[in-house]
Amino acid sequence: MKRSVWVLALVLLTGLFAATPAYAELTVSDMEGEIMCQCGCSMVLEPCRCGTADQMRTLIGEMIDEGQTKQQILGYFVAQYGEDALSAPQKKGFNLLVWVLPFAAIVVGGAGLYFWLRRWSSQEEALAVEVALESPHGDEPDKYRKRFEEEFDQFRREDDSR
Amino acid sequence: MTEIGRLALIVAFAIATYSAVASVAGAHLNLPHLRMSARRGALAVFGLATIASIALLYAILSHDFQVSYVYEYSASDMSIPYLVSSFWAGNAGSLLLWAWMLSMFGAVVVYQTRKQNRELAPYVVAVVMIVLAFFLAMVVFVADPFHRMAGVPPEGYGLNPLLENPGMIFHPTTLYVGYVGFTIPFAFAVAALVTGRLNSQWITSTRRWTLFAWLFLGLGNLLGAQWAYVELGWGGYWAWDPIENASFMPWLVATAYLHSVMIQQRRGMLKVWNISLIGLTFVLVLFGTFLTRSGVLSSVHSFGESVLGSYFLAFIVVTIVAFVGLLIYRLPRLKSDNQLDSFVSRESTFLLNNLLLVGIAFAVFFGTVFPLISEWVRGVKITVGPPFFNQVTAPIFLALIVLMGICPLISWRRASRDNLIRNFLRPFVVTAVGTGVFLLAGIRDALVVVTFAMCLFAASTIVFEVVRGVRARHRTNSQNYAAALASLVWRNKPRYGGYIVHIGVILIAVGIVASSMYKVEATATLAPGESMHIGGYTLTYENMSYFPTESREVVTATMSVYDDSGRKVATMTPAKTFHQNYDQGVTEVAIRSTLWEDLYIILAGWESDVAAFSVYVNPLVVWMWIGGGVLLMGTVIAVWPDPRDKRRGLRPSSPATRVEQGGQDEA
Repeated sequence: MKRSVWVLALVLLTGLFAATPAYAELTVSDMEGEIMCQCGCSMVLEPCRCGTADQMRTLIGEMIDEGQTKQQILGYFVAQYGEDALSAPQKKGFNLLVWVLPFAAIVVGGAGLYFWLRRWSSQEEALAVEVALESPHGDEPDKYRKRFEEEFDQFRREDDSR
Repeated sequence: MTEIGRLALIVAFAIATYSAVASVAGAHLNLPHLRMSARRGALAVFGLATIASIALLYAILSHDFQVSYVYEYSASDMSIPYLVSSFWAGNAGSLLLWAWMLSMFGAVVVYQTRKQNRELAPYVVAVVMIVLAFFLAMVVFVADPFHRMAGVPPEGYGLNPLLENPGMIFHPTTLYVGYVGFTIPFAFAVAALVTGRLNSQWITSTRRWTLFAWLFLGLGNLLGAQWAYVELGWGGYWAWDPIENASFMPWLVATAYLHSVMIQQRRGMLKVWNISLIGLTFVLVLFGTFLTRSGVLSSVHSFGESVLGSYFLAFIVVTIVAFVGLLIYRLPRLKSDNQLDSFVSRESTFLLNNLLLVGIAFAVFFGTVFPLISEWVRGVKITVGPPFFNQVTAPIFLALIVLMGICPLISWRRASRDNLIRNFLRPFVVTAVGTGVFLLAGIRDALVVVTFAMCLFAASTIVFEVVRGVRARHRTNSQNYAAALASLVWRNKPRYGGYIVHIGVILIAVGIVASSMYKVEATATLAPGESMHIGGYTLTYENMSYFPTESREVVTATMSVYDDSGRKVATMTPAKTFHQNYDQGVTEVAIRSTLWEDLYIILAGWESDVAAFSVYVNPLVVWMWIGGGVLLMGTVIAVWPDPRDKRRGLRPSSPATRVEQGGQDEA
């Protein structure tokens, strides 16, 4: 059963990658999500319907027809209007920071979480030995503790059986 | 009437300040009369804020255009609902709405704490009154909604036509309820820190408040998305605009909080983390308010530049410093009661969930403020727009959906291997088969296939979980399946309500992914009788009509819509209206929604009798709104009062808290 699931998954994955479309030619709609409209609407070009946006789309179309690459076209708009003409900063130089830092933070947080969990769960093992020797909760009546354990186990059984 | 309003605000400000001081002094010096007087003060502030709100509403409804706020945001030809909505169309009025809502919540808290939470109550009241005093100070000293001009203009300027949509009535109000609502759990957290009563009591006491605020903030965002979709006419619903981000961040952090408090309630762990999360949520709420009112970042939502920004910034800084100071002061008493039992447990998946949610919030925050950082550091203006946010948050959201599927399969404390395999197998098979179906159906984009597969995985784990419970009940109590389902949900509302919320989130995710990845767009310039084709539809442009109304001119185009088989399915009339006071025309989008897809037509322009159209076919958009409804339903079930709570005291979700809370003063 398990094996057939894996085989199925493998077949599906192969199909997935075989079906990925080949490299397509650059179109205006590939570009208009990456450039800001310059009419002052502070919108991305793609959804903007103003006259400026139409002119910009025409210009991009002409540049594509001239055989310019995506980078060349983006470069043109940056030179013309400044870096804020791009709808997102390019992944280089100082701007790399904004792209990398969120993931770096999650990785660092994840690593911290990992070590913390490791330490906690291993401390628990040490604690279990301690509990076996003598109850650390001297002031807490044992019957509460026992009742808690019983109820929790029952709760877990219910939890699992549901 | 406006004089009464202004006077009410001034007195309310004074009493709120008094109540804050008296409440703390009364608790500190153990003077019951002073504490009681502070509580009555809080009720009085609610009364006064209500009087002020009625005064402003009266000025708007009676067209008192000498009041500059009334002049700027309303006009005599507006219908009553929009007149009411102009209450919060501008800076001053929306601050008054904030203050009024907070004063109302404060009054509710005073009522709720008349017998319960006696130790926490004075400090809760004090925090609410401090926040309230700040907002009242803003409307009294900085942005006065009752300011009168020297002359009396004959007519008001009216609401910005873009705001004339039912969204204007529901979106700001729901969002505000969410924003303001988070003040209450925050106030309880501060009270817990001040008093040193740092068990789960403050969390259980504010569970409903938190869920309530979280629900409204979420719905507010969704309503805003829906409004943008139907009104702004660019075929989308979310633009990662700074203000949208600002209201999304507290929601994300609050979502993390809702999950991590369960660990504290069950296991007495993560106390520092939970307090920090609710503190962060509240600070982000203030930050959102600051962004909207400071004009620091340009946005469609901002009220324009104003000096309010600096006051808000100062208030944020004071809040952070005070809160962090208190937290550090109490650190020694915030030790965990328990240790983690196992590396693989529900607790760990919740922590991972927290990491991802806070990670997304951080990514959104950093992306939102990065243009400012870039300008300071390099002196270069940049834009951080949708491509950034989509690329950065999509993988994290995907991981969250995976986690949403895994989490219910892993038991609390310690998950055994058998338990894991048994729980995972069936959802895994369903997901594999579903993925095959997606591929056969022609979905080839890797991201979409993976997202859909993970949504299916998460949904199927929930369905199997429910089915297991229903069958167990059917067997043991010999109920029929429907009754078994009802009693299963009814007997554990928080848990199954939570699952329903997850289903809602999955539906929203499917709607977002499908509509953003498979959107089809076409533009055409047509003469009457000509047609265009898009995504299986044929649209024939019939004619154009023009009619003036009292305050605007409306141009509509009529289009007949035919499906694949040539059957006429609809007549749609996209339009553009021109308001006399505003130069720019407003697009009135025509939308035909089905469960499968939306046909979305924009009248882009015209010349003599030739008209230009932009048309989108947006698949599965409707599921975002349906998902919102499911989310609402799930939350309502989760917060629905359980008669057993009364017997048990508050809401101890496990025996652990029951022991922990034993002997405390809760009725």
